[in-house]
Amino acid sequence: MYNLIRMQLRFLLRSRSFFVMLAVILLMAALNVLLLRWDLTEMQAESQIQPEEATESAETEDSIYEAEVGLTVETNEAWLNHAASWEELNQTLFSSGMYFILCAVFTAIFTRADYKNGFVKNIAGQLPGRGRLALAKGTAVAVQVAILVGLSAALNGAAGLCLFQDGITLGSPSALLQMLGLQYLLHLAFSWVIMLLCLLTRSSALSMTLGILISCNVFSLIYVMLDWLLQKLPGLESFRLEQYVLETNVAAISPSMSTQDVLRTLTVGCGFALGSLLLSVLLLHRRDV
Amino acid sequence: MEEILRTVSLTKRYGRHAAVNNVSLSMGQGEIYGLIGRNGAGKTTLLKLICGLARPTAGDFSLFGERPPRQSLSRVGALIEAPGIFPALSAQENLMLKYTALGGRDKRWPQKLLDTVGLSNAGSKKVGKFSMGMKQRLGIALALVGRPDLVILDEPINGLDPQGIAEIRDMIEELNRTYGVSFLISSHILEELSKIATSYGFLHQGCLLQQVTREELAAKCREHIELIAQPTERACTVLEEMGISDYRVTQDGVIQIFERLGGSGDIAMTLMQQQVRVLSLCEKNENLEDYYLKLTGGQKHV
Repeated sequence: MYNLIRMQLRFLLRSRSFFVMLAVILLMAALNVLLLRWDLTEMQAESQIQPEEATESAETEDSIYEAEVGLTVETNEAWLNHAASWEELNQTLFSSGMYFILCAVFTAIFTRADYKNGFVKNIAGQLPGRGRLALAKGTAVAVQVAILVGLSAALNGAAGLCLFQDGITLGSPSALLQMLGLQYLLHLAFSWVIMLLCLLTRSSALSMTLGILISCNVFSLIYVMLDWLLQKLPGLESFRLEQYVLETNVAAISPSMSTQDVLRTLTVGCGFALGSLLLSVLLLHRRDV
Repeated sequence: MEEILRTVSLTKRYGRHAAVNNVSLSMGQGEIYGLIGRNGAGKTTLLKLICGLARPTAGDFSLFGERPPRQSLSRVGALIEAPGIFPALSAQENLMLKYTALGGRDKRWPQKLLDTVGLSNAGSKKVGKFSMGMKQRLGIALALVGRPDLVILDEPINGLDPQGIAEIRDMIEELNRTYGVSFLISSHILEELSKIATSYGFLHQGCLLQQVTREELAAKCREHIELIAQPTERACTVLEEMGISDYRVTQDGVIQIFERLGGSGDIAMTLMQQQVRVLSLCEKNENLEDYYLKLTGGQKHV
């Protein structure tokens, strides 16, 4: 098992897609923060023309559970009045879903590489249980996601410091760690779902497409329809499926999360992660190569 | 001879189609086993079952005495269908990946393998730029990475030029002779297979028709004089009077004479003197291809 993981990590660090991912993260960090900076500058200009609008509350309503399709980075208007913290800046960018798309694309490419090129034939037959391949692959994906989340957070912070200058503060380290930990769990769970889809469908195109659609919240329309059906059942009148899916929980993470919300996010993340990984192991164990 | 592989009624079905149907074969330590069959006979499927890439629908098999095989699978190296290689990596990196997965630590081993298969100078070149023959050699090197005791090669000389074929043949013989590595090789190129194989299995429509050793096959394919004469019984009498005893008569009434191979002229003259009409007389040497075609019903091509 340890040797299989070493092999997968060796392959990860030598694959072109990994370095493309690093380059994309760097570019996205710079662009995201730059666009946020421009957004704030425009808001500042507008607030000087119409001062009464700049005093509107920056608190959002319970809008995160409404069906919104597409990728958006919402500039926090409160940053006009106080410096953004590193944690707030990163949360704004992570909740947009852009990193979900990166996870979908690069996990699909990495997962299918063994099969597309036939390299899996060299090792699959020599294992008493082929399910180990999924565990090793999942571990490498976990490392890939950790690099994505960690590097994104670091580069976003660095870009923010450069572009906002004294407009960025470190904030609370514990809040930052909590936010990054939860985002890592949710992004990892999503990557393992993509890995399962790749192994199940034997296609990176289909799983990538599904991943991108999920990241863009297209499935929220389906959740709304399912809610309408499920709420007719006794005891489920206030049931909201959106609260138990990954993409919505990514957007829901905030400094003001209650303990209940944190626990729900952890449960959703762990449930999807372990469920996907287990199914991947079973699938490879049973299926012929 | 220690038995390293035994299959017992091994079967693989895809829906209603039996790609491998009730195959029972055995292979001993140190053998070079040639698996012969036409396209679609089930050779690749059988090899996949043996090297653990597919699960049998029925039957089972043992490897190195372990049944079902678990730990013994690590003693097998295989090249099944096209080589499984990453084109964006070099030959050495491809080998190192598999070597890492098997727990290998000797960093010189991949280069030694490349030297063995004739890719000494191609270690750092990206595999995507390799010719088909080079890729095939790399596939064989990948099969040898774990220092296996049994190597399974599915059409290993596809895409190789004559020199390459000779080099691979020499390599197989060297590994077999020096290190006692056993080989299970499937091939369409029967002439090449006949140069190195010590046993043969003939597969047809998923069934194993026959399993013979090289010596048994040689006995069955002996050079002989083929005589068609009338009346056949009188011709046999004349042959025995000539002192010829090593002959047999086939179901078609063809007389196969296995001695006095240079004396067909004398045989013809004596038969004619004894009022036996000679309809056909020629010297024949049945090779592996002829034998295989006869076995599988392709006699019109013999």
